[in-house]
Amino acid sequence: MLKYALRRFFYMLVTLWVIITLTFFLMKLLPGNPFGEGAAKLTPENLQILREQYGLDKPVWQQYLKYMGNVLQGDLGISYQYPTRSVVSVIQHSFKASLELGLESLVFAILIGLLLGIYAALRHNKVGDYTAMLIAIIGISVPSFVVGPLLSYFVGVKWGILPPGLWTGPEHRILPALALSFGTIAILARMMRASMLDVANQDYIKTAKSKGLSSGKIINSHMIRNAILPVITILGPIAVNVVTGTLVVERIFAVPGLGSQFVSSIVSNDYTMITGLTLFYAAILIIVLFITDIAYGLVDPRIRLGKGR
Amino acid sequence: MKLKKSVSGLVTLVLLGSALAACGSNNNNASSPSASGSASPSSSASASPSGSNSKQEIVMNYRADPPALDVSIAESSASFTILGAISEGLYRLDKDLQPQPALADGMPEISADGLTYTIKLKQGLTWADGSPLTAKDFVYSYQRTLDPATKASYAFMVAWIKGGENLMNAKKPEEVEKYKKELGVEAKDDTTLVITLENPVPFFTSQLAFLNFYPQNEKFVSAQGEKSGADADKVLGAGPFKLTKWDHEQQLVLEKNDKYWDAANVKLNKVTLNIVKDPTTGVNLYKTGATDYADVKGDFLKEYEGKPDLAVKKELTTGYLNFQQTKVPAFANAKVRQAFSMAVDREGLVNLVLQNGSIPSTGIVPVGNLDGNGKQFREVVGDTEVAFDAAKAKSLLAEGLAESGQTLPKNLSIIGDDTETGKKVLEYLVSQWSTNLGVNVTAEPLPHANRLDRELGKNYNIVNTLWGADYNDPMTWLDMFIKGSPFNTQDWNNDEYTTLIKGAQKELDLAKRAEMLANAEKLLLSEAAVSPMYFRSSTFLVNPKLKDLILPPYGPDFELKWAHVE
Repeated sequence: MLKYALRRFFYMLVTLWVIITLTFFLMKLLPGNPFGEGAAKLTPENLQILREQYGLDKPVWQQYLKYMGNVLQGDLGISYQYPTRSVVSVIQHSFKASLELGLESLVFAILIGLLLGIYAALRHNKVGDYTAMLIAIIGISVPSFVVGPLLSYFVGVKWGILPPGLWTGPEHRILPALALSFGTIAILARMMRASMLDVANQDYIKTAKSKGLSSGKIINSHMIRNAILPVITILGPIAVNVVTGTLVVERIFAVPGLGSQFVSSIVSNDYTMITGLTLFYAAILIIVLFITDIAYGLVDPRIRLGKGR
Repeated sequence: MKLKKSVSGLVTLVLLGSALAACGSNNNNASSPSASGSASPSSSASASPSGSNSKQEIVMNYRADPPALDVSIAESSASFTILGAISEGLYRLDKDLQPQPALADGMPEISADGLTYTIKLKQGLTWADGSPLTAKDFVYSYQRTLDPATKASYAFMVAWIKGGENLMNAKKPEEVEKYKKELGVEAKDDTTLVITLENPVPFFTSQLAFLNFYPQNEKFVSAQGEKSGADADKVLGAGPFKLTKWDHEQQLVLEKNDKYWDAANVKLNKVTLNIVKDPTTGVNLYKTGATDYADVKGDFLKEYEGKPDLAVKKELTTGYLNFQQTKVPAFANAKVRQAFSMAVDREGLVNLVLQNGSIPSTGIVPVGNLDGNGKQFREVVGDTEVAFDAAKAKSLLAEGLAESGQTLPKNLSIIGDDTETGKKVLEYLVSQWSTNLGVNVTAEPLPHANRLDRELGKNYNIVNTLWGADYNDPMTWLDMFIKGSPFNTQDWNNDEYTTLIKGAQKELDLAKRAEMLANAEKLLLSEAAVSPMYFRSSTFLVNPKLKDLILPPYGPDFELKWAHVE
């Protein structure tokens, strides 16, 4: 087991290194310079002075070696867009909101998604089933950049129930979390429904029925409990997805998160920020996948190759 | 079964936990994410701003987090806007763009050769923390901006001061020290500042109102080190407001500075700026009363047409086209350029495409720009641009091509920004040339940085570009097109023009100088060396109860000092 974990860990480091190297060199192919909106006014001489000051006049491989050296010491550099803030501090600051938004949307998704899935399975092939699955399909096919503005306009402006944007009080959390959870609701509902139907055909359910247990009890303690297992295993990757994929929703609801940082860093050629954020996102994904791999191995020994040694 | 259940439960926990742990260092902050949400003292943002009238508190949307609130490093209009509220220069521009004495006690005493400015400071000035503000703070500020170690991208503005170029280009530390001593700025005593320029700059007094010429408190700034201007507690100004809270990417709070010399005339007690990047969200917030100020564009404009909320800001910004003459030899012929310029109906461009209050251009220097002699440039010079005339354009093109013996390349293209409006402008131009001139041009929208790169690299046929005034003088427009200027990307070389501009740069008689500049613009446009399209405006929603909020045509986005709630 330990050997397996170590090997996975080694792969993880290699993957991160490949990602950061590719990002670094691809990013250097972007046209333009990282010196912000004032750069349009700089003469070539002034630009050259700035390039020298930031070491951007050196060959790319030298810049790469220097950058990698810093990364190994945990230093992701200073952002070009925010010349007084380090990339690490920007990530620390902005990730808070993204994480909170992601987790809140996950709560919505789990609550609504699972209920919808269970309901559909219990009404299998009846109107309730079709309605629930129709909602799920809509949820999957309507992207958040459509749902978001609709929620913001109707709930926020037209009906005036909740604020249409900003991130100051608890009431500001509901709409963005809901908008972000739409896709996840659909995934979870469909998975839960399939899993429930699967369980419903198992022998032990028939046994329970023949024992004369009430259907409520069967659903509660036999069906849902068993059906939820596969759903739980995908929650990890889904959580990562939701936490890191909040770009559009963040913009629509003026949430001070990390997603918008990513776009603005690319648009403004903020080299250190681009690599820093890529590294951060990649690390989260890879770490979660790593833990998932290990956890699968724990749960199901068949996955562990070369087991028992 | 039981084991499996608890294992999968554990897995979920671990997965969620790992996501949390990834930002574990956040816990150093006093508040956890959820706590910061409910405990943030921003009740004013959720309450309707109009309800807080009597308290003189307002809430505004702002489109971006300011990069750095450091006088030397700041280069964006966002930094400029906020620093203009929390700090101040020797002068402050009023609503008519006239410099009013701010930290200075009166107008500068200018030597006969226009090079030396002697400025008296007000007595008893203090920084927002109560420490005294003296002429030395200006000397320190200019030296720091020009010091290469500061990496100030706008240092070239301050390099107008004698010896500035040397300091900016100094390589070794001992050179830096030497040039700092030689720099033409001196504190004669605590309240007397003497600035010596390299060349006369007729609009220098106005320029002293700008960010680059603000003072800096040496003790405070050097104590912050590289973090100067990074957070609310790392900014020290001497302006009408203090920055009391800066939650990055989310909110800035400005509160009245009681130690400001003119505090009696500052009526607002509190300004909350919420960062809102999406314009639609901004308007939604305005509609629900969550903000007193929002950007507004496109379809929303029609909704507010004729309402008191709509404010139009006429900017000192011109949208124009350049025709690259080396890549497309046909463009070296003035008639061909004139034909392309004349074939575009600018009325249609502003009414059908831009729809934001922009007006058709009548020259390169926009309406509102001064002529360098105290008058409005456009009023003095009149229209210098040829009017739209499709029939004449067509015959001019034929004439020009025959005259030069050139043909237009088959795959003629125009590059421009790939913003929503930018793309529409390109489509409009392409259709105008196709209908009125019978010439096929391909639109090539590009990301901003890419467009700029190709423009400055002279790698284009036609480019749709923009320029905004750096200072209120025709020179900010006209010196771009002299021979050898990096912004003369179209390779238009006209000796007469270059002589006129170089002469104006040295001319001390303001009337004569203004005339030279006027003649230069006439020449530039009669040659169609550039093809201006529109003078840009931008539109905002401002709560009608919020009065005297100035929307200056260049520099900062807004001026808060005199604003108040009725």
